[in-house]
Amino acid sequence: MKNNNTAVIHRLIRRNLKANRKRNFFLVAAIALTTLLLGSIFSIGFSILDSVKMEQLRLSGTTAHAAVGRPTASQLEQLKQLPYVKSVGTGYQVADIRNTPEMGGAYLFLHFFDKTDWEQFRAPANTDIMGDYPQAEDEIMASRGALDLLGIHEPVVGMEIPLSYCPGGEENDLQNKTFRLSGWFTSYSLMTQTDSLLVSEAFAEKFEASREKYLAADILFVEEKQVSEYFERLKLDLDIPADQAAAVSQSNERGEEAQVPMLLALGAVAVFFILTGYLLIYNVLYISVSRDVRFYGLLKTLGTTPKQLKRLVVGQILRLCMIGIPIGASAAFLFSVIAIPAAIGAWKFVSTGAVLSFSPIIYFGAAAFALCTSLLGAFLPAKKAAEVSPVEAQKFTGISRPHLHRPAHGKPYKMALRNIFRNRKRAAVVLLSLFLGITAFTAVTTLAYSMGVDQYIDSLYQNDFVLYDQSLFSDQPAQPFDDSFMEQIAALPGLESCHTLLQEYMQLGYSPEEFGEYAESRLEKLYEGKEAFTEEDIRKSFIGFLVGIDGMELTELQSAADQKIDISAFDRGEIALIATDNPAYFPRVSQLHVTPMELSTDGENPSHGTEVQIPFGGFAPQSLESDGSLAPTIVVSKSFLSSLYHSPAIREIRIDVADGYEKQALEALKQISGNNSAIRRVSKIEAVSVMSGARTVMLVLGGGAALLLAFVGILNFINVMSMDITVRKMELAILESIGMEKRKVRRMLLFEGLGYAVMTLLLSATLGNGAVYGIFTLFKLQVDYATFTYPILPVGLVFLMIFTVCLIVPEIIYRSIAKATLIERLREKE
Amino acid sequence: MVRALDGVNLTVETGEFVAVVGQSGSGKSTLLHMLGGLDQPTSGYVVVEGHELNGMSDEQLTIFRRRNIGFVFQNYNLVPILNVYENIVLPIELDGNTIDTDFVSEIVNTLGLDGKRGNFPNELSGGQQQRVAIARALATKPSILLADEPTGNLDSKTSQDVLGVLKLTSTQFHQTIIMITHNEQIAQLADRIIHIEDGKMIREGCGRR
Repeated sequence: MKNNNTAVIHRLIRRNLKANRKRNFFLVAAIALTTLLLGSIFSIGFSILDSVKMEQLRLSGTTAHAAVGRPTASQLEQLKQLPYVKSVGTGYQVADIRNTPEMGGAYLFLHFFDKTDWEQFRAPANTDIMGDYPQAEDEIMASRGALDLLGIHEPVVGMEIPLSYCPGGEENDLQNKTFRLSGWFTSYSLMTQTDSLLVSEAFAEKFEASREKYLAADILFVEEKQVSEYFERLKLDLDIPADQAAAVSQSNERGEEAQVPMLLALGAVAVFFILTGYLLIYNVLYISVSRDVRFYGLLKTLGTTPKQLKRLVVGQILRLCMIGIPIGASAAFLFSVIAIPAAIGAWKFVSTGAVLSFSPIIYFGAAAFALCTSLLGAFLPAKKAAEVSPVEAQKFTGISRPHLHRPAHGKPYKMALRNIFRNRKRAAVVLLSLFLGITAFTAVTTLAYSMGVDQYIDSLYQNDFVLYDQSLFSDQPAQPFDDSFMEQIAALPGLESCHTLLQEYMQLGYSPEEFGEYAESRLEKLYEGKEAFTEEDIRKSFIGFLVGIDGMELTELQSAADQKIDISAFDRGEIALIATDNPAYFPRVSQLHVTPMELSTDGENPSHGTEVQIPFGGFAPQSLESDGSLAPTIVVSKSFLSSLYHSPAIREIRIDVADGYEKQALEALKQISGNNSAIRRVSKIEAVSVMSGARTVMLVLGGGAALLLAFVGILNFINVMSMDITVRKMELAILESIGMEKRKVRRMLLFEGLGYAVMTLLLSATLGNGAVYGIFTLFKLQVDYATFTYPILPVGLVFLMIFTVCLIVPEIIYRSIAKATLIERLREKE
Repeated sequence: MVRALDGVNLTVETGEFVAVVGQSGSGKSTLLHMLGGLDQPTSGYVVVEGHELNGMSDEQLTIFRRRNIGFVFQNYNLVPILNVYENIVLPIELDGNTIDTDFVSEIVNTLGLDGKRGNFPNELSGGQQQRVAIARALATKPSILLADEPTGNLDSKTSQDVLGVLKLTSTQFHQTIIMITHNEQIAQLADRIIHIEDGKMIREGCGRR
């Protein structure tokens, strides 16, 4: 039977909304809160994904999907014709810039990109671009990082930059030229220790040899999701031989799988938010429908069908959604703009700056989920309204009988307890939502407190300061830690100890039985198995590092689980260790044959010393390993190492100062190292300030969300309490009329509020804290330095808040109904 | 199990005004609820204008009610959020029908509610509210008007007034009316009086016409 009765239903919806303003407020608040919480969570998730994606782009330095090295003219022509290739850019490395000690281990190049490559692929992966791409032959553009390495900290357009460079990397063809700066930008590729200065086409044209050697075509495919398939087709279509380089861009190799656990966690939080929002909406609506049972029964008597009654309830929630969702979505938007960049930055999800996602999916998604939550919350109340029996509705008073049967003897607290459990379902919903809010809050604050900054820093840093020589691995080590430097360190304020770690090159005697497996794994890692090595090749290239350390310090670095090493024999230079975390590679090593090597000043033709033989005495921690060599890192005592080399290089200096001197020492160290980019400094005190920021953000965001949840619980309580007292208006009047003093009535209501607060406290103290400890245990599996710290103060404050609200709300509501005289209240109906 | 009604056999002709009299708990309200499709008998049947009510679903019963039954309750049961006119036409609108404005105006005028169309229930006296309830019951031109203690909440003067309106309805609109009351005197207004006790019809008589 299809009827056109929309108009009357809409009128009923409208009027019913008008008649229930207080309830509407709660519902709109619940809907808005749900939207806000979901929107914020989605926004965090999307922003992290976008930030990670942008980080990958920025670190790889290009938005192109793939590159082909040394493309032939016909391949280039063909590339532009392929239907699945969107655009093609080209560029090549024109020359190497001569490495100076100030540049540390970094390498700089002169590079040319054509218009497509720069504008479409390179520029989007950089930020803060000032000026233009070089046009004139002597113009140059550079990243801020490259300029810093050249000693230019405040660039100006048009400033002159003299450079020495070797075209095509040919070292015997050193050329000099003064360029003019045409622009600069912030690049992130220096993180991989290489960076380029960009030159014009006019300049690049003159170096045909470089073009032949280094030309590369960058390719953007039409569809991002099919990069690997397109790449395979491309290799076939262009007929790329095995020895021609072709690769997919780094940023497209790494998927978003790494973020899956984080996204799962956010998803779980979202479900939690939906659940709380649902509880509140359901409770408010259910109470409202229960109170209006007579109304719905009457409508049914008059011929309103169950379907129409459902529409009446659902229609109200839909209209309230039209108010609540936009409010929540706007609040979520504001939250995103203000809090998310700080959060992503502070949590160190990415190193290249946070990207705030404004994807419409966030807000449509939050709105859709909030709408679903609201409809779900309205479902049972609507069903209840539809199933109201007209006959029973006529007798309905809105008051359910208590379940307890023991006499209360007029004692306010006994009556209060009875009143709380008059409607067990309602009491359960209120307690559950208060409990969920408190427990979420306790969990978040416990994790934040347990993740104490000091514990974390201590787990990461053994020393107050560590200075590293970054140039050690370049061709021309800067040796920044000379005698005068060490003298200044010795004069540091509050210095307690200062240990140095020595490191030099050495050649290690190779035999396939002892080192074959290890060498294979290294070759695989260094050359990806692309180059074939004979045993003789390996023997010749079996070069690595010899590290010198004091026995005492070695003991400190080793965890208790490590195997016992004869430290005194180590100090006497009678044994040597291999630094590794994978001892399985070296099952048959017994004697080590070490030949010291010293690099000449130009980095060429290392001179070999005399081979020494030293017994193998066990394994040293991996932290002492120097990566990048074929041979394993061998650890010996400092005195033994010093006996092999004339003036062994200092790899790092570990410094501890007395408590309270950290700041002074940091300032002094900054002065001593100056602008020397060869020195890298790691300090506890600087790490602490970064970490404190991250913890504050976690506390503010997590605690804020949890407080909102607690707020939802309180809203639920206020709603239940106010509806309950209003419905019982007549009953309270009757109690007064038969001689219960107002004071006693108020005390009874006070006890009701107190009852909720005490039960919430008991639940949280037992079940809640149990859950929190469980969560902490799971958390500790991920973050092993966490120590359980209960956030007594914040949790205490929240309980104080809940107690205050629970005690004040009944009083306020009672006052509002007790304004009328007793006679008026007794006569009043409905 | 309590037998609220037992062996009641009642036929009401179109246009009749029947009063059902009994003490409280005698089962008269249950009888009315069954006649109005608010409740279903465990055995036996109710037929209104050829429709058998037994076995109808909740939805079907509801639609049956709004098309065939007009209710007048002791406590008026007006929808508080709708004004007088909206209350009167509510059952028509729920059915999705166009309002017979001439007929509704006639009822409103007859019941003396002309000046109160825009008022809300809480702005009316008890007698006025009950008139609105009667007008609402009549608006759908129901087969039966069921009145459950229509004067139970009213003082005697207003009661007389409302009963007069009911009687007028019966004659002027040729409306079938079944009224429940515990008051013999009020029952005398009806064409036929049925006495009910412990769920059984014990006596039937004629009223003072």
